[in-house]
Amino acid sequence: MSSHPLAPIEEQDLHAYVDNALDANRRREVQDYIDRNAEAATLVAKFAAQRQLLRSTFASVADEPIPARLDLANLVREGRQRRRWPWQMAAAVLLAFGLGTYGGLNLQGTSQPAGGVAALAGEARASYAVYAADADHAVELGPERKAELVSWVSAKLKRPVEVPDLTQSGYRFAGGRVVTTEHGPAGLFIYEGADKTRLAVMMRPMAVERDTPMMHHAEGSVGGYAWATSGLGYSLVGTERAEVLHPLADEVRRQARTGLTS
Amino acid sequence: MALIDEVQPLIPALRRYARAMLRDRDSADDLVQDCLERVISHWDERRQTEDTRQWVFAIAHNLGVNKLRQETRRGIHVAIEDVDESAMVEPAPQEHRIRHNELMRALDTLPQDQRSVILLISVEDLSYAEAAQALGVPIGTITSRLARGRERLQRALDGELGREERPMGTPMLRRLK
Repeated sequence: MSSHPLAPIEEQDLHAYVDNALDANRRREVQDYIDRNAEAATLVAKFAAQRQLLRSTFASVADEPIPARLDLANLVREGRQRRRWPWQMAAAVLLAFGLGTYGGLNLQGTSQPAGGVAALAGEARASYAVYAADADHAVELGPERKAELVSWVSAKLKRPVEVPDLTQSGYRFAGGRVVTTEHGPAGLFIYEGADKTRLAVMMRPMAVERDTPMMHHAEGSVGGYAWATSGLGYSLVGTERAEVLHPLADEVRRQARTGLTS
Repeated sequence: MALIDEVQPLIPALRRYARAMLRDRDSADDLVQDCLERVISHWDERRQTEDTRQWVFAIAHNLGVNKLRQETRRGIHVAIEDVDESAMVEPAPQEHRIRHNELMRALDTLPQDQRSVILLISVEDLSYAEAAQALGVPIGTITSRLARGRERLQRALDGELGREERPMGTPMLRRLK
């Protein structure tokens, strides 16, 4: 227990709660307050929904292919040339303009593939629909072969991965497999709740959006959260409501972070 | 190259922030390009202690604010109805699209400083301290803008604000009920 008396809960604490900006102790105090105060609970729910709506509205922008003119390596080269040859560069820009108009398709080819977090989210939903929803053949390797599964997935992803533990949150690890996505192999881990509802956590390396904040995603009855940390993308998906899935996704992210620093 | 390694991964988020600020895809990408050119030319002058993401967002934000100011001065205002919504958001079921459109209309009712704080914190996941640095204001200003902005946005989403209160970038009077 903390020795200092409880600081009064203020409006800004509710916002900080929504933004995950509180330390663990303060978060618990604010959580207690919300649990006892219906008005605060309504506000928090509204602000959290607002935050999710903002994220989902703008999420797809970050997943669009990056146009060639925003290619950083090109811009660096142009910057160097411009400093050296200002007027020749101006001529080159004019030329590029002309080419850009007629050669748009070719230039497009140099832009980055769309493999960001929104794509990852879609892949995770698709994998969930195929595997997690399959009553009998959801996993290739069961929980008793976890070590084997971990080395299989790590080898395919060419980086060490760990199976997130959701036991404390009421979900038992039920095994997993390697799945294919449009952007390379991914690990799919399946979890089962007491009522047999299933969740899946998918992870794959990210070529773009290598560090990306968590976003909510949903389509039809399947939805969840997706984010990327240090080049590894994660998506937790299930059929539960967002309020149920969000803390689980936070927990997976927390474990991944702890794992990285340990 | 450190510049490319550190800045390249930020481009998708920069485009998102610019698009949320300016709406128009081409103007937003123009802004990102300006921003990247500045990042390249000032890369060696940045403070080593400064977080790259925060620094880059600060540049993008200042460019965006200037651009909005110029447009307001010139009287350019793109009504939300004129914006190609399909260019804004991913194809979504009808009810999602309506919700997204509502959100963008609601965002337009916010003063620009509140809108930016909300976007940087809710969408780009800057911490309060990072947002304060990027916008060059104290943290207390961030928390109060965030609170006022979210309340206002909520009222707009709940349909409590009149359409006459919509113009972007102009200070807003609080409607008393």
